[in-house]
Amino acid sequence: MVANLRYALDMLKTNMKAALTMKAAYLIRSIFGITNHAIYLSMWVIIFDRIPSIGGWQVQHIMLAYGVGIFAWGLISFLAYGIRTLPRQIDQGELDTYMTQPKPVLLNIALGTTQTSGPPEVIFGAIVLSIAGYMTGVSLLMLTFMAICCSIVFASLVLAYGSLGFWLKDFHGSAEEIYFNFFIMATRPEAVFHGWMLVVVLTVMPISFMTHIPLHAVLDNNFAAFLFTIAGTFFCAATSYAIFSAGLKRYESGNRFGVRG
Amino acid sequence: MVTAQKLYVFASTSFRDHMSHRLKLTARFILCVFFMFVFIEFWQLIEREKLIDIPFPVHDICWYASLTQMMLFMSPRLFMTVEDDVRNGDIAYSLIRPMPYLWMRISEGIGAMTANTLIYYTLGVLCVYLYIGELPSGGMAALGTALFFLYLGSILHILYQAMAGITALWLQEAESVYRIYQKVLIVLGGLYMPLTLYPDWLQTWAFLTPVVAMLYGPVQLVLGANSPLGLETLILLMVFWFGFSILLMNFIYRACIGRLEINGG
Repeated sequence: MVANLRYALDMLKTNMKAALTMKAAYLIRSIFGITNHAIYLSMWVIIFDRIPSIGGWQVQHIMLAYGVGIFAWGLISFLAYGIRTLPRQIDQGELDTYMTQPKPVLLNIALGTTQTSGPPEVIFGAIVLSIAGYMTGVSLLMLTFMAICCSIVFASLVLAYGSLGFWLKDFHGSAEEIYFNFFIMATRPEAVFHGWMLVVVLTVMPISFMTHIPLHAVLDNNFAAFLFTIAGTFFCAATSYAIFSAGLKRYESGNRFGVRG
Repeated sequence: MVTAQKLYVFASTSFRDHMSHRLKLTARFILCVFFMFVFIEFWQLIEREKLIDIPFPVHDICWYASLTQMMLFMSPRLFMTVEDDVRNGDIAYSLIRPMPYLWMRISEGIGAMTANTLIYYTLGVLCVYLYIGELPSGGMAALGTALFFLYLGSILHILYQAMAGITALWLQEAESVYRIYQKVLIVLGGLYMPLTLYPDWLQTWAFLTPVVAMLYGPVQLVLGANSPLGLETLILLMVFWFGFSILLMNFIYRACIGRLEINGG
């Protein structure tokens, strides 16, 4: 366990070093990453300027949901970008290398590559979360709890849907579209999802565990929602790992020659 | 002429290839339909709670919201293909072919998008109709016209994806540029609500960008008699933005390719 952690840290350091060799590109990409989220967030401010409340959600609720969403997106892009590119790695037979190494395959896949716009997105998400926390009076501890749960659930969703690449060829583009839409849907007011849609967002597409239910836990001090969030987070993580393991058993080598440094 | 024939071959090959991935097409389609239903629910909720005075019939605005979402799903993610070519060096092999590289990729994108269009314009529209329960106020004529212009708008969207993709030659990745463009499309293209509901200053900004021609312009035609942009204005906007975008794309392409040659690939 400790050895794996040390290995993960070394991989992260290497990825960061590689990114910082091109400082100008890194800076530009970071600025673009933050601008991208700022544009989207401003749209919700415009909407709530016109519509004061949607299903009980006001601008501070959207900021909480969006802040935690950006935080999770940035964290996964930095710490586990490999699971986002899993369908492409499967198509190109890149898992062969990882399967012959002593370290866990999933750890290697996740840390094999990184997206350098991740850290600025994490910082931006944390800033939005702090502002929303100030507006709603949610404590730092609860905000941290929400951010951790959201990140685990989102990573699980990315892994589960990315693992569909074991069965579907050329799935990378569609998978990216799906991840993005999960992120977007998780920042929608909860009241939009009712009836059969509520069942969908709690089961096959459990985005409610990213934002809607944790928001109940931290805003209403609802203990049941708190427990439900934890249970949902564990359930998402276990299910996605099971899907990934099932896919890995089905994995066929790409028969591709290559050298990894 | 020969180039046009070659481009057609690339588009038709991509069309067939895209159609052959049935499972992927189905998964993507189901998700798109779900997201369209979420948008419909969003506007029905606003109507139910009487939160604002919507200047359009609610079923028209539900059609509007569904079609804007459909547009995002119709286009393949061309910027990723171009980015992949840059990152794995394949672009160097493509450049020496007797074929303009970017137009080849754009043709492939249009081919794949046409395959999606066939499915989304039939089954997708049927699903939306069944969920909303009625056609837009302008009837089939308004819907058909909107879908036709939305197809043209999607081609324009592909041009901008190609531009985003080619910036990978400069930034080593294209996603950050694409994400900004995508958010501009979402916000100024009126993905969530018609531009007429925006503050005046933002509407002015929106009309200075091509995203109005690719998203808001075509889709607002389903708002029937209330549609703010006339057909003539939309055609003029399309012609202008197609011309401008092709020039801009050629400029960016030359600038980035020049950089590739300087770096030696």
